Amino acid sequence: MTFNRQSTRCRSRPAAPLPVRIVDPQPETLIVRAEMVELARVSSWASEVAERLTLPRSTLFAIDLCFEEALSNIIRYGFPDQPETPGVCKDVRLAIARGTIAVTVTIEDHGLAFDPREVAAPAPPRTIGEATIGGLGIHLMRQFARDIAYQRLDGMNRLTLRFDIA
Amino acid sequence: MEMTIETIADGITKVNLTGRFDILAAQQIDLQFSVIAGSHRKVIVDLEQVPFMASMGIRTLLIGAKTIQSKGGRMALLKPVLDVEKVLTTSGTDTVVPILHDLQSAINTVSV
Repeated sequence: MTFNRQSTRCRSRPAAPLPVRIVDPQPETLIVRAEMVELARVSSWASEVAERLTLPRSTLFAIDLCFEEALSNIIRYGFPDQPETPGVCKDVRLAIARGTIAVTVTIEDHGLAFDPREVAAPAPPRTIGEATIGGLGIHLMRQFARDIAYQRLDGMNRLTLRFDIA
Repeated sequence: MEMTIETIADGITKVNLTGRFDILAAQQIDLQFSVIAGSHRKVIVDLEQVPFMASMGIRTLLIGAKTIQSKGGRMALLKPVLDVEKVLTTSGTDTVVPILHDLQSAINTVSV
């Protein structure tokens, strides 16, 4: 089910897509608000889409994980100092499209510019005292997605992830 | 996510988690888990019924493990499913909190 709640405050998306070849037409899409309470809905939706697209369990797990990490970063860091300022678009658009050998997922939000590829990977902890959490979410995304691409377009972050169909 | 606690042989506490260990679950059990970590020295966390884990779940486990180990105790993770184990090894968590796939090995590990 595609549930479109596009806010009228959101500017229309720019026309030029990232040049990623998507073999199958019509990605499945969902728009949610950048709020923690939406995470469960995202996960259920991903699970339904995975079933319709007959994705392997481990591919769904990777997608689920990346949604969780990307969305929680957007929610926690994308909108500092302006929780409910009018004119700030807090919609996040998610899309999943299945190709022949890979699934392409996009996450688009209108928060602060943030390129996750610029975050350094945390060093692997040798002792419990060294183990830290900073940067871990993005590190996991890098390990679970085959590739990650980022664009900043007209006030919007677009993250494009590709996953192997294991 | 649900958490139950049982005492098994010889002063060992087994924490059983059930459900997705996402950021909301982590927030939900954080306090309880840290109380257990603060008051027990031999803790096995049973992950068999946890189909999903992300970075905030790792955070909760690592903070608990640090607390336990800082007091000379030991923590072990039991029977993570394949995808969750990949999260644990990718993050390097397994190098500081051992992963075991059978209960007796976990008991042996925390009893050292």
